[in-house]
Amino acid sequence: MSEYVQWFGNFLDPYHITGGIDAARQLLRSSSLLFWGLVFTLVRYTLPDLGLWIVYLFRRSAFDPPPSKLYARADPLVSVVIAGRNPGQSIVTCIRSALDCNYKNLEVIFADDKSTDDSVALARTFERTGRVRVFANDNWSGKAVNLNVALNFARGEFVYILDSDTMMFPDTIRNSLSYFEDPRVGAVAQSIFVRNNTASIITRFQRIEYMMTYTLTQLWRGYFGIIAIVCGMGGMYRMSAVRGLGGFDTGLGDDTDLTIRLRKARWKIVMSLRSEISTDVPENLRALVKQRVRWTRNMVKVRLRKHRDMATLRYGWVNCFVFWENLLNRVVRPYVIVGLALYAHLWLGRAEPVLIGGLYIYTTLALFMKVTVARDMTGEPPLRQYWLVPFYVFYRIPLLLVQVTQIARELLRIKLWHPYVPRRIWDQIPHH
Amino acid sequence: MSERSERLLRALAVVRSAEPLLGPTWDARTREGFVYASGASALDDRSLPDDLAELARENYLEPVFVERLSLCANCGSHAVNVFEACLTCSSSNLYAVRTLLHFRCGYVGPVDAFALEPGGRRCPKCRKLLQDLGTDHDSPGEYFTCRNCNAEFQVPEVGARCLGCGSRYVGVEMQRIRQQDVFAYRLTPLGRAALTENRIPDEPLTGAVPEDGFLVPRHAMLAAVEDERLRKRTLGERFGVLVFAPDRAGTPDVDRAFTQSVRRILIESDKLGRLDDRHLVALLPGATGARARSTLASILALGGGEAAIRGSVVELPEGGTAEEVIDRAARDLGGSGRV
Repeated sequence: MSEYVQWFGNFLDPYHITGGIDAARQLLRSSSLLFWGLVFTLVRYTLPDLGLWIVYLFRRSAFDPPPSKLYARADPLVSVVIAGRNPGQSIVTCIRSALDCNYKNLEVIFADDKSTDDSVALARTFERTGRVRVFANDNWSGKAVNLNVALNFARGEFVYILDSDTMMFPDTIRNSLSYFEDPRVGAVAQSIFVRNNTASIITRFQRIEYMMTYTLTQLWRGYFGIIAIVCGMGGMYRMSAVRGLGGFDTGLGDDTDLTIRLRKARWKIVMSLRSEISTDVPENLRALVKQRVRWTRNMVKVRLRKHRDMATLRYGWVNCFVFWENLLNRVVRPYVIVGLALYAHLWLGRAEPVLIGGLYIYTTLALFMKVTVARDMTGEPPLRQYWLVPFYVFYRIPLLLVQVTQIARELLRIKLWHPYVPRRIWDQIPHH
Repeated sequence: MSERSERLLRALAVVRSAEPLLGPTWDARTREGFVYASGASALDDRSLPDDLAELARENYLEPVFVERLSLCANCGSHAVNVFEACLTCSSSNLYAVRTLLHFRCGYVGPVDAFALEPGGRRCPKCRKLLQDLGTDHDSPGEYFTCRNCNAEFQVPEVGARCLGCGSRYVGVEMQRIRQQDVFAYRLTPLGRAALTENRIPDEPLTGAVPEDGFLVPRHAMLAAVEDERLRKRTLGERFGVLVFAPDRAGTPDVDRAFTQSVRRILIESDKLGRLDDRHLVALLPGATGARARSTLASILALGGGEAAIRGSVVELPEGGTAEEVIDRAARDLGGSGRV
């Protein structure tokens, strides 16, 4: 411990500051895997956000919805589609948020996945408004099927897919709609806020994570046209694009799968900073791990297996890039991080006491930067949550381990079935 | 004998002629949709259902539930025709559509979207043939489509049309439709006794004690106790009888407050009546000896523990009349009252 303290103290020595330039020159000639791993992380995880911020600072209007011409005169019918199983009281909040979103020409369709609570009865109380319809599935069939059930009844020109534990803010639909004036746009991703952000320390960390991951990252990915997922919590789609694909496919990862199929069908996918939704996130570590297990397996199953044909130039070089970037970032990187950590700890050990501390300081500074960018652009997270940033790394460690183990499990095809999908349906799905 | 008594006795006679039970005969020619007794003469006896209901209220008849009918709120006719209606336009021009789900690709659509071919139905999304229901496909459910406005919904509104006056009710308006319970009737021992004596008191009797503390008259209480004795002999059903004397019984104001307090101790099926101007009697149908004693203890506790109220559980032997035994129990409590 004293060695670390001494090392931190050395940074105050002017020699270290002036010698930094010489050190950088030497590092550029480095053959150290660790060093180049850090450089990759810097480029991949810090520079895009910084670039985004610079654009935001000098041209803020670039992040506003495009001016509406066509849809400013006549509101097209928008179908808000909700699928859920035992959402309970939150279905009321969800439906009410859609009805109150300052957009009159909409219908809400709730497809219930054989709930055992009073969700159907609660949702049916809205049916008398004439703007809400409820379909109770006779069998438990999974989220994708119920979204298809709802899509079957949807009559809108556009469809807004909303999770039953999520609510939309006023103007969310109108802000998303203006992006569809570009006839090439097939889907619009949303800014996702955490509704139950004060429920526990886990939800507070997710509040930071969602802003960094699902808003900042999606923004610059949207700028480069490489969005790989419109999150299932909420997203707006052109109905003809979704119908053209036959709706959702059964199996895990309905949102990822639909996004990639839209990409392959050459639809443009954009991100709307001003279309905001708020969702409930897992409140304890067990539920969080369960959710991330599902997400990680979805990623491997859908992005790497089912859509492995994107690895070639068959669907264009951008889609090819999306595939390989995903492979590098979502599959290789977790193993590299764990590998480097083990290497640094086991092989370098006490010989390099500064290493772990240095990595921690570097990561935390980068996180502060990202959080500040996110706060400036979206107002989230609030300043009072900044104290969590130095601990954010420790929140990510168990999730990183989940990623590493679940990627291996999925790649090695160990216990493939996930109870999220009913067995009778799972057995019929082609598993690539 | 008053006109009312004559009318009620006539109704009792109708019930006796139909023994063991006088049930309704369904008849669409009548406004209510049923008559009691058969034959065309029954159609003329408009007051019979009301008379039977009154006799049941006064314990001369035992009602047995048969059916609940819907009657038009405007004209009272039973000819109310029920239909399913569109949520949007209230039209009853609906048709049901069954949906199919193909497990393999997740496609959901109406059955007709799956083209029927010699080998079975073909999925429009993945072009595979559907094999067996439940194995590779199933039905998530049915929905209705309105031919009038094209609205689709799973649970339609319920509507009704009165074929008597043409009134139409849909959705919340259905709450205006009146409900009428139809009963069959059988004679109680009290009713049988009334027929034997060919007499029905002009003063209406009452059943359970109303909230205002009104007390059942002595003759009705004693008749009810005899009824319970008969029920015990024939069916083995237990009952309890309590006699008690509040100190100032007979003063109307005290009675009302006191009987209201006692009423809160008794349950719905119990009866509370006056034996004489000093004594009250409670009949507890279905009560065990233990419940009778605990009820009495609760009533005595209303006196504040200063023995202001005296009371006892009456044991009714097989022989003799209930009246003799209960009067004896009242005398044992002290003082004799005036009937």
